[in-house]
Amino acid sequence: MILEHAPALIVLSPLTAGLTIKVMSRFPHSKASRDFIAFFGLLIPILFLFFVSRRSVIIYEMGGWPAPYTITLILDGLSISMALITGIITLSTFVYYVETLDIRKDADDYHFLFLFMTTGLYGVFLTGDLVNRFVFFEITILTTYVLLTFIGTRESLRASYRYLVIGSIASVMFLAGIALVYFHTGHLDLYALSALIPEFPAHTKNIIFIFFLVAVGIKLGIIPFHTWLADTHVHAPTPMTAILAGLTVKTGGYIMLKLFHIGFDTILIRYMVVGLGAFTAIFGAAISLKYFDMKRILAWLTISHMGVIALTLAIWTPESVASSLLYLVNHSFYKALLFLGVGGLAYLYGTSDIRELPIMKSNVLLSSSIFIGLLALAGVPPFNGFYSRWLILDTVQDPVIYSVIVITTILTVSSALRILLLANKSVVGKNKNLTGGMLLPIVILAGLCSFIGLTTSLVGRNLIEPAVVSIFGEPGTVLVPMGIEIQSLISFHGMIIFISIFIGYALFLAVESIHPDWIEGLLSNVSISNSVRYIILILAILLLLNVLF
Amino acid sequence: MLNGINVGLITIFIGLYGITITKNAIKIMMCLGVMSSGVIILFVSVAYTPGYGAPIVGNPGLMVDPIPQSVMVTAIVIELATVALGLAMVHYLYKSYGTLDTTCYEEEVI
Repeated sequence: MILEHAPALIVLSPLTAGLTIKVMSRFPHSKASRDFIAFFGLLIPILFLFFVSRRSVIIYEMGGWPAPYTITLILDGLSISMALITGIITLSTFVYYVETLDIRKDADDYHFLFLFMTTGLYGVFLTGDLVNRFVFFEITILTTYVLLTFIGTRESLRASYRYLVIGSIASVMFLAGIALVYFHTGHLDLYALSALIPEFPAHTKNIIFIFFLVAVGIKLGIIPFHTWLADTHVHAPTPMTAILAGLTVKTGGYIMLKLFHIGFDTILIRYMVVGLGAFTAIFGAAISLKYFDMKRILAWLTISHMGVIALTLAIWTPESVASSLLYLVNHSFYKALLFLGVGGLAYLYGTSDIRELPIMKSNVLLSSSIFIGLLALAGVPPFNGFYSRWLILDTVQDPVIYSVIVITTILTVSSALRILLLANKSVVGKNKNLTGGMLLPIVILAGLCSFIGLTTSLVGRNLIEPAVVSIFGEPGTVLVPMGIEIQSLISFHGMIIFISIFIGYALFLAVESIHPDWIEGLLSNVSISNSVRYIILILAILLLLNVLF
Repeated sequence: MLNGINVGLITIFIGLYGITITKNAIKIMMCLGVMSSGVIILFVSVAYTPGYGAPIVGNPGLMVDPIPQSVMVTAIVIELATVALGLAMVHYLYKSYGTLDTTCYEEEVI
């Protein structure tokens, strides 16, 4: 059966397509054949992921050696869910950019790099080995650096340079963490490690995890490691903003989940991540209220959402991990939709300042899709953002964390409403038109946001529960309740979310900004040397905490 | 104690410190090189066992685990690619801004 080889073929098909396009670019070829090959390279993994069983585990041993000595690729519930989001978002961004590329000379290179980046993303999610996760992440991130500069402006170059410096620090810290793990175990395979690491003394675990936390924090973009995120989102080409917000930052969350899974789950580690996550969730959303550039607002909201994801992961019960994963999936879809949408608006009107963009008075399909995306972001039922937020409130027991989530909700709602209400109300003339290929993925993603919202219990049963089962084993309780679509509307937590929406609206009307200026000066537009100072500072603080407790 | 692990960790932090005190875009790239060298020293010395030989077929006696060394070959290649890409970016940054001072690359945000 070909499905036995699914893990290898999922990683190999974008890789093969990319290499084929690179070879083809040396010879005369038609654009249609090139686009066709790239499209199939991105489509085949999705087909495989639909047909493999979500309840069983496929462990694929590359090269034919037995498990501890070889590179393994693993398809279990978790990696299937993550790879499926990767497939859907990469394919829709591909459809978005493919028509606009025809005028460029270096379109072949763009295809090649994009397909390699997709390979890296699949590899990060599928591999069962720490070092290969590092290598695949480097494939993703190196191609991302180049793709970010394809827009050709000097701002994109500057943002990409900063990302390169900070991303390299993440790589070095990750390697240092791997070296320390190897020092204590002599293994690099995750299955072998998951048997050995739980027996470490807590002290050792904490010190190793601090190195990993810097690396994963930079990938996730949680404060104070967020300094690369906003600029890259603002200045990058549109398809890359959707990939960055939808997928690249999620790899950080996935790696953090895997680290918790193999045994780095002491109390101190979880407190550290909860603390950073809570801080990020509140201040990311608060600072987003300051800006008028729609891409920058969305980028700061991404930071805030990543804080929520880190926070709920670190609680580390089956229920909280399920809610975190649902939040992650939904966030991928509506953020990709919003970034593609605002990219379309910027293409039409040449700006992304919300005071000049007629967000609601543009092309009907584009406007209604962005409207759906903003409602999902604000957490209005029946769109998907509401249900993931409800599930988080439903599973969180601790009153402090509960209030952090509620405050974040209020600020996020205020920010989303601000985009809607400050937008230009008049009709602005445009000299370009969106092509069908650019509109199609936006409309499909908007449809997915509504569809996932309306069928949350199905998504929970087919994507989230298998993922949680692959981490914790059979949970025994229902993680995503059947009938969540109706039940959540009339529950206590649903009421809390509705009240937060109104408070968010009042907040928008009442105040211009809700945080003192020095916080913004500290956290936004940080120079390269200052961001590295933050990293050293947080390393020192965490190591000190570890010595004290 | 002066062993490979400590030297590696200290070299990593020297590289990090270097990035905080320099504003020159090329020197930042050099600091990244120093950091990567540090992590390579760390990893190779972690894998070393006293009395064991190099992992080459035909060597007499016991050999060290070859996996970390192969990992480090990969890491060296990745570092090479990163620094080469970074320097290419520095080249274009210099062409468009006319300076290597990274503080001059900042601008106003809305």
